[in-house]
Amino acid sequence: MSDLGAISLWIALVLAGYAAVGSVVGKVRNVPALVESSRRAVYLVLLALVVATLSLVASFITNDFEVAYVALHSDLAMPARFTWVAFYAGNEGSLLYIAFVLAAVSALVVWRVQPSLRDTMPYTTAILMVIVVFFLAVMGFMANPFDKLPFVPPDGEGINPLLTHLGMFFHPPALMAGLVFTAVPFSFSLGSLIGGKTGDEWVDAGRVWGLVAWGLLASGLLLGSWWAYTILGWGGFWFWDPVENAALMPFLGLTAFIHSIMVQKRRGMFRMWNILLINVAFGLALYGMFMNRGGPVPSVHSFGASSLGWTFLIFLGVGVVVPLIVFFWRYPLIKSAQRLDSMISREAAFLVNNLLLLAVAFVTLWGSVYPLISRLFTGNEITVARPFYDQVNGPLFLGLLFVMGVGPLLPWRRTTPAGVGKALLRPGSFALAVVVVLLALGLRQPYALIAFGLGAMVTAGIFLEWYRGARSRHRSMGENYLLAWLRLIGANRPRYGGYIVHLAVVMVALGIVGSSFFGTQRDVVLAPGDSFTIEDYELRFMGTVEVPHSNRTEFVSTIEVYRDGRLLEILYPRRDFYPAFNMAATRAAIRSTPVEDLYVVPSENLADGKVGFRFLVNPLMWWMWVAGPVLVLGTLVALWPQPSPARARVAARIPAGSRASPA
Amino acid sequence: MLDAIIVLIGALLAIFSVAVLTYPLVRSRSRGQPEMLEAAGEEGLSELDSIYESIRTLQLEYGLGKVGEDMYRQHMNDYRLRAATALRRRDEKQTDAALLLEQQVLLARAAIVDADGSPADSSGPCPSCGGALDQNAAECPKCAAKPGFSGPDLQ
Repeated sequence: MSDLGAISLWIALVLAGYAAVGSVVGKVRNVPALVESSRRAVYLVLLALVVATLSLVASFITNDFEVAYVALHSDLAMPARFTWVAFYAGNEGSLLYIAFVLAAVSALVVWRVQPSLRDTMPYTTAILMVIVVFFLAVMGFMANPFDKLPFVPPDGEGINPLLTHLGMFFHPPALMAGLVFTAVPFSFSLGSLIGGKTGDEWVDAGRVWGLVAWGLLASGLLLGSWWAYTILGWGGFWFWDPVENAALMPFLGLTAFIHSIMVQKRRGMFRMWNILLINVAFGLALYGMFMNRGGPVPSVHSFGASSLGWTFLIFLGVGVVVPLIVFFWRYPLIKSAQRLDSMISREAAFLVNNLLLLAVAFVTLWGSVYPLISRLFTGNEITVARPFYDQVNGPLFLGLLFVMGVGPLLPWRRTTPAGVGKALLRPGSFALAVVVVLLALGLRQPYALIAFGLGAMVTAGIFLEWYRGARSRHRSMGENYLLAWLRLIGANRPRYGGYIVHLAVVMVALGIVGSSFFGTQRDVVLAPGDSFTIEDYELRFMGTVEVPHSNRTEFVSTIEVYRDGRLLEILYPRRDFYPAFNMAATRAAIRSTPVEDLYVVPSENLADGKVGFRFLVNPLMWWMWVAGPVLVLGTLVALWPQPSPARARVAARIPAGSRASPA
Repeated sequence: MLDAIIVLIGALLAIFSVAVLTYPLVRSRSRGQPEMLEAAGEEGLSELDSIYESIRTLQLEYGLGKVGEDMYRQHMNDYRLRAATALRRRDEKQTDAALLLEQQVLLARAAIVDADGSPADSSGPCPSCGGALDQNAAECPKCAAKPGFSGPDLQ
């Protein structure tokens, strides 16, 4: 089957090249048949990559260890369900996954293109296909997942133990898809620019695909944090690791873009800014792929390290420079339809939000590339650690939370200072009340107090608006409050979908602030029967049992958790040893409640039956993980299409009998 | 045996791809005109949607007390003006597209006549709107007037 996969890859490469060249030549030479032929090539690329993907899956399922990639990332003991994870466990499979996802989304984009974009679609198609060509060429010439070994080993090396986690089923594919999907709004923007359409034609498609990419990246980041929290054994969820940062930065760029594009959609403003923003987001996504797949720096993701760095770096350079050249070429044609009416308006709040997000992105970028720069100029690699990010990005995140609270309270276009005061009065008072209560309870950390206060203001602003909107419908239409609220949201999906996402962000902020400022950590060695007290928990270590498996030995410890002398729960943290990898992987046991997490992880199993444990009490962490589904829900609400009022009115103007009937 | 099947599937994939790609290059039918009309039909809809959305948001913000009475009226008038402008631009584009299409139909018909050596075509100006009209047609494609119709009744 692997031969079929290899053949399909080459066919896909030729087809993608044809689609890229044919689209542009057909458009420039005005040969619609060639454009149409190139459009069909996009579907065929997808077909060829489906065959290639299925071939690799079949190779895994049949344990075809002659294929080097299969031998490296699976073994006979690997359960079939991990085939999905093993598929992208290494560079070659990840590249195939990326190419497949990009081909699939390209086919969808080409199929569902809106009429106003048809004119520039050949350029958009060509850009998407050039990116596909890059990934296929890297696979074909440098990292072919179907390369064969000169011999057939009796068994494979097995899947990396760190990847055998539920989070790994979703975190890498979501992140990689998010990075790749950034190419879609970028291609629409650049395609329109090349085609001379410098207005708002691409805005709807750009917003939708930008939101999809953003949702995938956000979900991927949260799932990755959850994976790190439960498996890496240090009790944290974010390490400011270069690969983590590489996914965070395009997410920040896209966050700025999906806000800013709303201003263009609504007011015809920020046209240049949005083009630049999506270029930045795409450049950061390419940087993410470079860090992730190129493996230039050590990271907790080192299992994905490779020697493709220079190839990805060159592609990153091309992906940043070419759009800039096109931008300056078309610069004289790009003019916004409107000007900013006032600095006290929602548009202005979006602008401030954009600047803060970009500031966080570039601080993170600086911290991430500093090791590379220091290695290049001094020969010594100097790593920038967490305090740098916390000190610089912390205040910026607080600023973002503030804008998130104030922005939605402002109307579009302009308002007066008195209007702002009136809008801020109730949410601001609520925030102040929360801070006073927290001070009374003994909280003294200024950052935490400000963050809780701002979170309260954001939440109060959202619920107040929902209440007022529902009350208005209740009074004018007689709907009950629940129905009125649901219809209010249904009638304003982008706006209120965004509000739901804002609530999720507040929940994430609660988790971050709670665990960062109020967490407690203790490292102790306990013998069976020993007890240890952390906060108001009494933890009793009952002993460890060895559970042998075909590929690992599990050392499962039993910890009884008491509070006020009452048994709350029995936890089973474990440490697994994988002889084939000569490494251990931990599985933390977590007692999670909305108030706090009790986190127990065995850091070392000693010979005399003693175990070194790390115990943590992380307040408010539960909120961070619950934020994930809320965030996805908000994104879906914002994405859910609304009927076009203009189309409905136009249809109403045409007598029913005179409408064209389907052929 | 398996190798031969794999090569065969690969070859079939390649042949299928070539067939799918060459089909549009060898067929004669052009989709240009329907697409042109469709694009004209879509012209401005996105802008109009954006204006309708702005009006709806303005009404919502007015209802929520975020926008005062004066600002509400001022912005509403502004949006109405923009909507009227967009509608006028859209109508102009559609008229242009329809006229262009009519011209192309007339030219094509003339070309057919030249090729056949048949008598001149039966088209002429519509007495109602002045657009091209086939005298054999039941009604004018632009204004729906009957061929015998002499003009609008101003009474």
